[in-house]
Amino acid sequence: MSIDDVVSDSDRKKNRYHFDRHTPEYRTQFEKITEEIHDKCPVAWTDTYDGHWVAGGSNAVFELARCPVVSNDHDINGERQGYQGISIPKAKRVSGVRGGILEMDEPEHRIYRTVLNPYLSPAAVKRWVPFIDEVTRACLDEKIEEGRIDFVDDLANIVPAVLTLAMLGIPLKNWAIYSEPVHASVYTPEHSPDIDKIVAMHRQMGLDLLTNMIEIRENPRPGIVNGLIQMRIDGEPAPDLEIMGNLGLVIGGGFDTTTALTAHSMEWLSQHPDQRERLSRERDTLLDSATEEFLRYYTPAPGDGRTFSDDVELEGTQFKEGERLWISWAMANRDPSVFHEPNKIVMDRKGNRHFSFGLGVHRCIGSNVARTVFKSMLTAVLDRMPDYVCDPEGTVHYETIGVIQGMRNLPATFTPGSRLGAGLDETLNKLQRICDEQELALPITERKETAVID
Amino acid sequence: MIAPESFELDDIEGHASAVSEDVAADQEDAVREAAHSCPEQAILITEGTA
Repeated sequence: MSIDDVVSDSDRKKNRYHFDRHTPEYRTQFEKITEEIHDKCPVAWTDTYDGHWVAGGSNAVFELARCPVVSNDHDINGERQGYQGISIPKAKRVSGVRGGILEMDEPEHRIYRTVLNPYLSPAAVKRWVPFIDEVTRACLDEKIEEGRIDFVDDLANIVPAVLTLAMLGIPLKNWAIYSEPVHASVYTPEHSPDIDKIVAMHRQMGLDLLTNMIEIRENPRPGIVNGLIQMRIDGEPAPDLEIMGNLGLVIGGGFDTTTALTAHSMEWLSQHPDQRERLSRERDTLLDSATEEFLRYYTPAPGDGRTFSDDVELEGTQFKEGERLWISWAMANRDPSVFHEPNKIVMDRKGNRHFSFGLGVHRCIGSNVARTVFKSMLTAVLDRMPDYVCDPEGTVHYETIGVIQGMRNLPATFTPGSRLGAGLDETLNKLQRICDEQELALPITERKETAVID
Repeated sequence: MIAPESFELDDIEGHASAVSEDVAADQEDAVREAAHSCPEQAILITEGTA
């Protein structure tokens, strides 16, 4: 090797950009920061959080997300290379457990994903549509006579949580034990005075999950929990910690992301009543493309961390083994070379190959759950509260969007209407019975029929 | 799905695949739009003279 072959660090890292996605400025200045990154450097080095790469250009994001030497592994116990998984910086609260398949590389990732797929494939999710619509109906019935609703607390926090628990095989009535800590731990900073309360709620959720796991191991009942308990790797059961990690991933991925997408879309449609009217009227042709466009524009999960597992050169930049990388789905989604007028919501956008579910082998396993639940909630609101107006005074966006670009509150008023059926608690009791009787949480390999709501 | 008549989804894995090698004339626009929209850029169209 000659001296010319040695590329100095400063040369490799010549594209520098101060990037800290955990600051409130990243939310308020998102378009400006994104444009600067696109203009100057599709891949930049930042010194924040012990230094890491940031990929924001669509080509770089596409190549890096699919690159075989870019690792998701989170090596909790230092048994492999010590990589730190998908959080930058490493999240304090979750550092004891690996984040399921999202923090695994092949071949391990594929072994677990194969177990989860038959519960979450498009065909598997389609079976749940009447169930989802019934939860949505009950949530709206709780508020329809009042003429006031908080779209986060009263709708978008509930439906994804109830469905996720149903798919897992956990009692539906426990939804609040799960929903509150998952939502709150995303928007509560580590230094907040509320953090102890949230850590306690998180512990209660973990205990409930563990209790259910033990129950299901003794008396199997259908659902993802059972699927993970029954699976065998070289004849051996999966380790409890990996089962818990995957359950945590399904819960974390299934709850707050869809909540965030729904709340933002509802807010935008309130601000653009003509577009809302058009979406409602032309939903047969517009609902699918509008859903993808809201996904692109709001990117509920704005990015993922990775680690280079080997030296590699991509897009003219040399990366070294062990270096950390932030792949920004949110910034790739605003790349003008792929999306014409990227900062504008165009409900009938064509060629919308957005990055919101990630790319490659780690592409979001719950994408069809998210789409289906979102469409159920959105269309029901368009039907039953068509003139709703969100209240900007009471609207609370997350202060930072480093983990989830979400909302805490989205209150709205509308012309009151009539109830169509029972309230939420009574409906969940009925749906629990239906889940049990029809064994709705079986994988698609064992049950093909759609849920029947009596 | 953008071109539901030209692709089918596997029930278990959820992967899409083409229903046939040849695209029907009335499906060409939909299939081009599907290729254009595929996030994984996994759809390749070969133009032929039939």
